[in-house]
Amino acid sequence: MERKRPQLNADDLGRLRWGLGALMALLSVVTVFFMDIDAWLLMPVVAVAAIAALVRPTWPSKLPGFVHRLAFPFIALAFVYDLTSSQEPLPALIRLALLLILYRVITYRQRRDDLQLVLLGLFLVIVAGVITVSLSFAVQLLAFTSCALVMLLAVTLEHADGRSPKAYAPGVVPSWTRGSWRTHLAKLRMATDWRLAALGAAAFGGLVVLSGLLFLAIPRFDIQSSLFIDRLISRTTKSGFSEDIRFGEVTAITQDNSLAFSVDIEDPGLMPAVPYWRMVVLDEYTGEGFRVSSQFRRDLNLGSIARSRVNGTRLRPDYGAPTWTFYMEPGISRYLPLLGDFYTMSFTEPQSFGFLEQLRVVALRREPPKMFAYRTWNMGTAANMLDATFALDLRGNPALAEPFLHLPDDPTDLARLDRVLEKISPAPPVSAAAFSVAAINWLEQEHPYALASAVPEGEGDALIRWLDSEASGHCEFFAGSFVLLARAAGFPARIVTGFRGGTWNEFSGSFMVRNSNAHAWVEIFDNASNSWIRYDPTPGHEAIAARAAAASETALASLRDGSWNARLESLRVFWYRRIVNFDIETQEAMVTSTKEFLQNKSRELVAWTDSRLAALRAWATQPWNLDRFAWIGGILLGFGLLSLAWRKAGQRWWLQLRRSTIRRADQDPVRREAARWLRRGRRLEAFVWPPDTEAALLRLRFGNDQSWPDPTDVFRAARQAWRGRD
Amino acid sequence: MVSTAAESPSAPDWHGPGSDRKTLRQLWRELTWAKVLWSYLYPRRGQRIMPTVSGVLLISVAMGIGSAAYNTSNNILFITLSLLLACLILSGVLSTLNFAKVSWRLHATGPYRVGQSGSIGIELRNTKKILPTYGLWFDVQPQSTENSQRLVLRERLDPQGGSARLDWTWQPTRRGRERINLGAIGSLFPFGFLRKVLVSDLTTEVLIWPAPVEYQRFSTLSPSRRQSGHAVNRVGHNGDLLALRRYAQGDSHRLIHWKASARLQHLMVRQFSTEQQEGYSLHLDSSSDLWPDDEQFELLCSFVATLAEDLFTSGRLGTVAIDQTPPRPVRSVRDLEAFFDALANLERRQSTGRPSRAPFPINEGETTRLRNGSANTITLTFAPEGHRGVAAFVNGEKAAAA
Repeated sequence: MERKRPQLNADDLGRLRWGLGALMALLSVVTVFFMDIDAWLLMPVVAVAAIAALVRPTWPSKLPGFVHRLAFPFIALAFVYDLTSSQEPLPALIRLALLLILYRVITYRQRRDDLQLVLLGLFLVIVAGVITVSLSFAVQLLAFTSCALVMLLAVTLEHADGRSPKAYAPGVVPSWTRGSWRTHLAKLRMATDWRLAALGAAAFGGLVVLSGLLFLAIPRFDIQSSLFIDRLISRTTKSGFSEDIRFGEVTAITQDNSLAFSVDIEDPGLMPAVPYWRMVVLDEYTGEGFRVSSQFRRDLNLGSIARSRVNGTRLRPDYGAPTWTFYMEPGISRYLPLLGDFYTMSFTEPQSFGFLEQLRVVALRREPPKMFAYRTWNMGTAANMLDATFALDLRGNPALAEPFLHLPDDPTDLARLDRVLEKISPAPPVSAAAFSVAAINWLEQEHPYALASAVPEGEGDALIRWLDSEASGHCEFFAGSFVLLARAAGFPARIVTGFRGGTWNEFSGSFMVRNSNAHAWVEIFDNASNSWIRYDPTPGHEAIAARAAAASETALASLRDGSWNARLESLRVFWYRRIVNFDIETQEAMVTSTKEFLQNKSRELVAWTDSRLAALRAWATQPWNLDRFAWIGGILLGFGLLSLAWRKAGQRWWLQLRRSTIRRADQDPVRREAARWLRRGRRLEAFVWPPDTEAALLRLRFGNDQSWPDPTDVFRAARQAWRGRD
Repeated sequence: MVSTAAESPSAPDWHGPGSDRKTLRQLWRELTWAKVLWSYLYPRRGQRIMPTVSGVLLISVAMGIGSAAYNTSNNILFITLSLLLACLILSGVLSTLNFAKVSWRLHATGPYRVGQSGSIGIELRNTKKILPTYGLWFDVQPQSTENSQRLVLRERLDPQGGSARLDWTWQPTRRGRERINLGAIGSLFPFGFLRKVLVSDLTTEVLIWPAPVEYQRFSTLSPSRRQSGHAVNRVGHNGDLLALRRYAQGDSHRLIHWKASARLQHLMVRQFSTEQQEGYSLHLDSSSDLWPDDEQFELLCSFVATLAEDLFTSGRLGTVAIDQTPPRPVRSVRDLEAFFDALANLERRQSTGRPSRAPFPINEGETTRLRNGSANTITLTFAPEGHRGVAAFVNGEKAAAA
């Protein structure tokens, strides 16, 4: 006999509601953590209060009455003070929401208080999603929605008449606080049918699918307002590439293995074996590092008009060139990674940015607080970058090269540099390329590569001191030393920071670049080719690049990443590519591709049917002989035998199999089939069963199964009687 | 009180979505696109789906997020908007499933008496295969009152024929027939966003007996000897055995004298001395000439019912008669209930133009055997006493007054 499931009473539902409220408060705190808002005191307080309320539901009753009376005046005053002192409305609103959640967590809630908690949590989740645009938003939203829906269900069942009871007076302990969570959860488990739980999970899955379909189907209009809440919040760069970089800062970034950006490209074969993603080009040596000189910096910050498209330095478009789509994570830099010069660059929405032709860099006015997507078309990937303007200007006015030839002023340092230069190239170098090769070889011989590097003690410029020693160094030391040597030799040179390499994610079909790929290299101007030529003086890198360039297929294969981490990141790429970056064009493309897919499939179906019919016609028009007749006869005979076997034994076997799997007596297929036949007979007034058949059906329906006649025969007889009813 | 509602239906029909026992195939055949679309444009009469406060809030939030999404082309907001819309759709679907294959019926379990609590039951049945039903409410309203009472299904109504019963305790205020309406069946299930209400025209009619009243007895209507401490040795031996007499309808089977019955070829019962005590015959004149005042007439009905009940309990009620109808013997509870039913339906007789003769004596020679077989009857008649009171008379002598 089936055990009756217990009923959930109002106490069980109240307890469930309370627990889910605490969970939702915790989820809300987590979203604030993702937002990087200055609420480091409030977040742990709310979290601790939520956990305490979860563990000990009776303690809110111990709060004195004045806490409840003063709560809202205090919260209102705190908000006003916060708003006036911080002058930032969004962080103040978020802190207000946290305070309200805190109060709701530590008081016994009624129906409307639960609704308030849901709304406050939803507000925080949405704001966090808009600000971060990260994949975690989807997870948070789904978790929050599931908790909120179950809580609203519990609220509805608890107050099924739709009327709210009175609020609990201070000091009153609700009856649902009694008992342990273990008892409540055990009862909840006993009261839940597994089929119902599965259906609930399926309903939630259906909800997600439905919302996905609605997301795709909601018509889009390109209004593109420029003001929104992500701009109401100021954020600082956690790691990144700025205009002023000190030695060691790029190397420090390599300790972080998180994703920096991903790149979509139509043809993966076009990806260089070792791509160098240029971000910041620094020309001025500061003694402690390099920075973008003030003139260039001013030029970069001139652009204030928001535009969604910019033309690059490539003069002639190559119409067969691919489009590169970049998805840059927040907190990387305001400088956009590029492989070289490009023909056009476009953004998803208008941006204020600066494009410096001399340095070939694009910098946004402010660092994007969320994932930033952009596209470039016709982008160069070669190691040399033609700069005819600079070459022409240089011939007319050699002083223009000054920013790229700047050296330390101290004569001792310069003398030391000349000594090193003599070791590298006793005779004056004939070309930038020859000098570069010689300098790189010398650096590789003299200095081993190490992430943990130290400059030897002594006087003078630190980088020249390191250069004059045999100490190990990281990429910034090698690149900086190379720039100083090249400038001392009379070649304009600059240091470039960005990313080197990356991996090909096989699951998402995109190129992933991590922070651990951060790197510094150099560009030296070659008068002969009027180009800036990229060199990587860090030991080993140039050789690897050369080998990879020689065998690009092998190199690309070595870049492929099929790890679990790649799987997770493919999800992130999917999120950016299909969800965050979904726009009206994508929607139109999706509709078009769906239409084309259906048309193609229908055409294929028609063609397949035509071909089958043609084959049948051809077969039928062939000359008939004994073999063909024998084949047809054999097939018909086979079908006949199969049918006979089914009638003789198959039906019985099938019925026995079904009977062996039933759990309850009322699920017996024989009884149900007999009931079906009897019901059918009753519905037709003029129909009368043959007495034997009716008696047999009644016996199958109600009688002891030991006394049953053969059910298959009875049903067959019933079928025959029914067919012959006219 | 030991009586049952004589006119209450024993098994009323089921109503609601689950009462229509159509097969899936039949439903599928009847389903057409035009019908589905039309049902959304013009929902069935009485079906209302209204957003609740939280539903209005959700719709407002969705509209706010939607306008923000369109203003900014922000896909995060579009995702949230689509999730909120999907929640609304899921809410509607689950609400429909909650009502599907649920049927109900009103079950009046009388007796109902003015001033005394009675119970009206709503029986529920869920014939779904897997899904239980939760959180239904039923608005029940007697026709004579303006306020409806809400009964709430707080427990789970299990599938596969699971049943539940909601009882409404009710105190009638007036005598006669009362219609109980099941006005609406509603639910906030599942998330409280939408209030789905099915308006029902299900009614049941119940009969309400007159109220019990306090009255004063006089010596004429003295209590029986048995009630004043007469000892009984064994059950059924109420006094000394006097004789044997013929069986009459209503006699206890224990009193049958089987040997005598066998000899005489018809049933004979033992007659005891207590059967000689007097019995009362109630005669009621409902003439509007006699009872011009409404309140007094109501008091009359209540008084007669109370007196009849008390006399029946003490075993001294012989017959009852209303106006010129022949006296009906009251031998069993069923007879007494039938008399109460008649009192519940009683209305004043139209004026004949001449004054009533009440209190009038019983016709000569008209005797009726009591419940225990006695033929000594005393007629009780009723007449107004003053402007408000009612008195009972025995042969013109006041026996009781209310």
